[in-house]
Amino acid sequence: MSVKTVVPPKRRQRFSVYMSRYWPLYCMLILPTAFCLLFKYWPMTGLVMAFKNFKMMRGIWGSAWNGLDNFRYLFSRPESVGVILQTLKLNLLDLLFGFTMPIILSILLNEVRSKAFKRITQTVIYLPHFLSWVIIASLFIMLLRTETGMINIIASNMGGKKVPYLEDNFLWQVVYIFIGVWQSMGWGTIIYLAAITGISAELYEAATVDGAGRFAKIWHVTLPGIRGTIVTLLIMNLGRILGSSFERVNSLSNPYVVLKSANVISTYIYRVGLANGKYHYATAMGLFQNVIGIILILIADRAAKAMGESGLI
Amino acid sequence: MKKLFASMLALIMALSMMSIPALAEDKVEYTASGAKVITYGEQIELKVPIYQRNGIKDPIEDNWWTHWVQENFGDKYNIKVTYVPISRTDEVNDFTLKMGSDETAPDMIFHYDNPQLLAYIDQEFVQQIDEDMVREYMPDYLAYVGEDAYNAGKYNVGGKKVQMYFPAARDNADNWATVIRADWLEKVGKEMPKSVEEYLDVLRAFRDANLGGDYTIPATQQLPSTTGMRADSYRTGHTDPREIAIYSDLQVVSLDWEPIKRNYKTLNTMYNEGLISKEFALDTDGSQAKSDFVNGKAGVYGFYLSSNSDVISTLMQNCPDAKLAILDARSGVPAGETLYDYQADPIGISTGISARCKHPEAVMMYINWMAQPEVLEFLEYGEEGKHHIVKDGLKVLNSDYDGPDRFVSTNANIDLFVMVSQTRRDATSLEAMSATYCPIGFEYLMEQIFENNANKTYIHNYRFTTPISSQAEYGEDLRARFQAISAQVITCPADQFDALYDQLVAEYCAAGLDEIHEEKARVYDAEN
Amino acid sequence: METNMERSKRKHRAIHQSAGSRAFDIIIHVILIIVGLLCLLPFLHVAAMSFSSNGAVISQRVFFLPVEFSLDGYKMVIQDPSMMRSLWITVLVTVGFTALGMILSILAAYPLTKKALKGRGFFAFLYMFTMYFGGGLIPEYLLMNDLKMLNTVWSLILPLSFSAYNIIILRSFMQSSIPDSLEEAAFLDGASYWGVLFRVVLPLSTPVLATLCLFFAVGRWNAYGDALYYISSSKLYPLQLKLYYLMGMASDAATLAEGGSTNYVTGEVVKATCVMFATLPIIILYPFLQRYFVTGIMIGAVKG
Repeated sequence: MSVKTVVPPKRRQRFSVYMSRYWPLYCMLILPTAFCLLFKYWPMTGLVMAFKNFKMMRGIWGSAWNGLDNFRYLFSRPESVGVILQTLKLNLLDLLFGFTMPIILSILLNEVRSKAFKRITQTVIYLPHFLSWVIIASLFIMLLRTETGMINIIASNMGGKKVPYLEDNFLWQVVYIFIGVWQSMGWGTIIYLAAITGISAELYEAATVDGAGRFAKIWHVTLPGIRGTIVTLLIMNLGRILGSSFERVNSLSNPYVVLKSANVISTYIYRVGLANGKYHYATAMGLFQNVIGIILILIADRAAKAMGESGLI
Repeated sequence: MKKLFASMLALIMALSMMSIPALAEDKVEYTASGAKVITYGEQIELKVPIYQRNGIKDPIEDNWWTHWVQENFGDKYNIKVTYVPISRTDEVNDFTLKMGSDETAPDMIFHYDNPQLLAYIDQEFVQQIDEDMVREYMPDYLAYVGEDAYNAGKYNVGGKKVQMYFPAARDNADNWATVIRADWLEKVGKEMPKSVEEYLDVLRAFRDANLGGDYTIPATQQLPSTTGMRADSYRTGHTDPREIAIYSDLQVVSLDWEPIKRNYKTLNTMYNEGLISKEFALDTDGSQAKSDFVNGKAGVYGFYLSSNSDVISTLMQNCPDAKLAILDARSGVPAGETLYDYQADPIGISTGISARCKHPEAVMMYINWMAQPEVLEFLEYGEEGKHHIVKDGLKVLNSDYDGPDRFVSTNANIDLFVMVSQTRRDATSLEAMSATYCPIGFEYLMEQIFENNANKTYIHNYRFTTPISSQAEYGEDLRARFQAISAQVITCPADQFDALYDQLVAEYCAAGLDEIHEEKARVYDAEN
Repeated sequence: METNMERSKRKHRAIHQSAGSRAFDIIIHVILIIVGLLCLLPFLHVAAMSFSSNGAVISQRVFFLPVEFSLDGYKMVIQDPSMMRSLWITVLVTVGFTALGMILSILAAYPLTKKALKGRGFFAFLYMFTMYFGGGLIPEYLLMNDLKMLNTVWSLILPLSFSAYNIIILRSFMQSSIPDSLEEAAFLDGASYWGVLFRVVLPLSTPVLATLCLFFAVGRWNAYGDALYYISSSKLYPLQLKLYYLMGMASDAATLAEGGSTNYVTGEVVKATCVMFATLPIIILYPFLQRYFVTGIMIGAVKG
């Protein structure tokens, strides 16, 4: 409040006092900021491609402007709305299951008392992260085929009915989400386990003294202890709500779902743009996805701050 | 100190070269075959693209053979030959990025397929070729590929037909084998089928006899690919050149064309009668079909024959009594109709001179040098006793040779001489093909392939020389739709086939096929 | 060494070892064993293929145990000098990348934890923005060319070493887990920001630093998308790019165009072997880092 009444010379003085205290922090920021500007912002000038008819031989700046034509083309196609909705649907489901699963798993892991069991489980559940989508897909297709898939053979031997996991559009989405959760959950626990490590043991002791049971301690100590990490990751994930891995969808796709459940933005953009060298369509679509993403992030960040979290920015 | 002095000297020399141009002058000569060659006074660099494939052992851009090229071509004319690896699986992106600057752009650009060659012209990646220079610099190349192949490199640019590419020669060397289990035929007491109707009967017999156990698959079937759905077998009455130009295409399938619909109808029958796998549509990479066949569960399977084929060796291991025969190609054609087949263009890859190339004559010299008989033969066959052996007067490649000068690439040097020739020229006779492609004891398969081919009437696809822009725009989108439609119409109940087919195809046509057909008709009429 | 947290847990267990708690333990173990098996089996499948004969693999007879045991795949991979070279390149790039990435993340994250720092929001937004917007392949490629980094290991080390995601994670951890009082105490002792960073903040952040190391190292090890375009000399191929080429099959249109006569696919066993060869070294990293996750350093620091 006193700042308002300060006269200019004094303000300069204040500034030098401020700088004498904080300049080391700015020094620290120099190197990362330089990397950020050079390797991230410099290529970002390429975003103008979204408003151009890009030709490699003319270069990014030399190609002709075409206003909003790229956007018009992408959104005038009859399937575009369906594609966006399908992307949203799959990603929301992914968020619902894929985001919560690592949290649950890491809490369970934290409750395990045997050190050896904990270590082995941790190492094992993160293995799927290292398999490429092509390998994962070929394995699951082998398991899930209707007639000769292992799961259906076992089920029918036990008197069950054969289930078309891959041909049926609804079931395919279940499979898609399941495989996604399976692939990423172990890897996702790492960050929460690190966060749990940071929780002060005194809090647990205090809870014990208060007579809290294990559930109560999970609820009142562990979860609040990693709340900051959860919120941060949630906000960051919201920014990718319209993005999806082309490799994941494409390797799991098949002719029964390719134009229905597996028709998402990343495959759509491949079909209409990237496959025939129209990089400007891909850029335009990417711009659209990310503008939506960043708006969501800003809203979520505000909301988080309103709820007393430190937020992202 | 010495080093410093040397680099100073080099610097001074470089500077003096800049100030006094053309200290060393280019020297023009003519080879014995009359080809003009230049020995550059100052060394120039020639950047030659080369495919990077799977199973790479020696660095494709730096190995015994590239050094051999440098010694025998580069050093002679003071050219530094630099090979630029191009990812085979992602070549268009790779070329496109490299064309972004002078440093990265190769001096040549090549591709196999006409639509992409047209796209490169459209993207201005290739420069027009000066035909007078070709006559001067490339007599060996012209003699080797012939005028017809050379003229296939002419394209319609700005209303004029001009030379844009150097096509390579290709002889017909067909090693695709569709095999049927001959022992199964014997067991069900049937002859080799000679028509679709007979073929289906044979498959029904296979099914009923359960020859492959519980999950017998009479014929393996993958999800049709755009190239596999050419419907060559059903073309009787559809051989008008204009119709073929518009409807027959390797990238975009004309589902509204009657021969194609008939082909689907047959597949639908096969599916509903249990003659192909119920899960064929999930077999996008063919591994399921392969596994079914080598396990002895399937009666018919198609694959590229090769001398070390794991298909045949594994089948014989799993089913020692198996006997194989080539399926008569007439079994794909309804009784009484002609057996047509698609004939690939008689040219190999087409090489253009990159728009960023500053020495088009060096590109010409390189290709021409490679087309000289003694050079090409060495690249193709190497040394006798090492890279090949001579058997009955035929050169047979020795695939076991593993010295430091072993062939590069998984296709035994073809990537190195692909700009001139796709196939080893002496290797297309029955004897040579058998020696090259058949496992020992299965040479008769090649004989049967040759017999089969003798029954065929070949049709060429029309080669457009003007870009079909709608095809570039809708092609990939239509490919995805084609896959979805294929699965649906093959698996639907037989009585719903017609209605469903017509409905789906109407949507497919509206999604771009009609536009492609209109454009092709227009372009065809303008070109002819 | 027993930590305080575990000691307290043990004490607690001794007092209330109720039946409910034991049931809970059993449920947890059952769930984790099922989840663990689900995650392990696919890997076992690939491992089993790598030890089987090619015939057994293409017949799809291999599930979780090798069929017709064979070491041919491993012999081929280990005898291939280009594989060993790629392994070396990958290790080199991964180590350099991880080190640089950690330095950049620490330098960026620590200042951003200081609420009084003017421009904090600006920098945070500047960094975060890069998580969602990028120029795409073409401008990045052209930049690499302008910087003369194409075909050098630098193109694999420098561009991705700035990771906004990791910076935010690190900052969030520093903010929530390191009490201001500790830092204040150090300042009163006359330490500078650099001193506090190295002597107080970093030692207290070992779990998250270990996590980030893992993220950087694994991310770099598994990536090949950039190498596919930036590296054209096969002598500099990282392992994953070799793997990409081994796995990659030309489309059927491409095969047809080549006339098929050249069609040659890598044996399935060799592919499986290469997957094992390319992933095992990096998987081993995690158990090494695990010890940083189970120690409660914080308490010791506060009390000590």
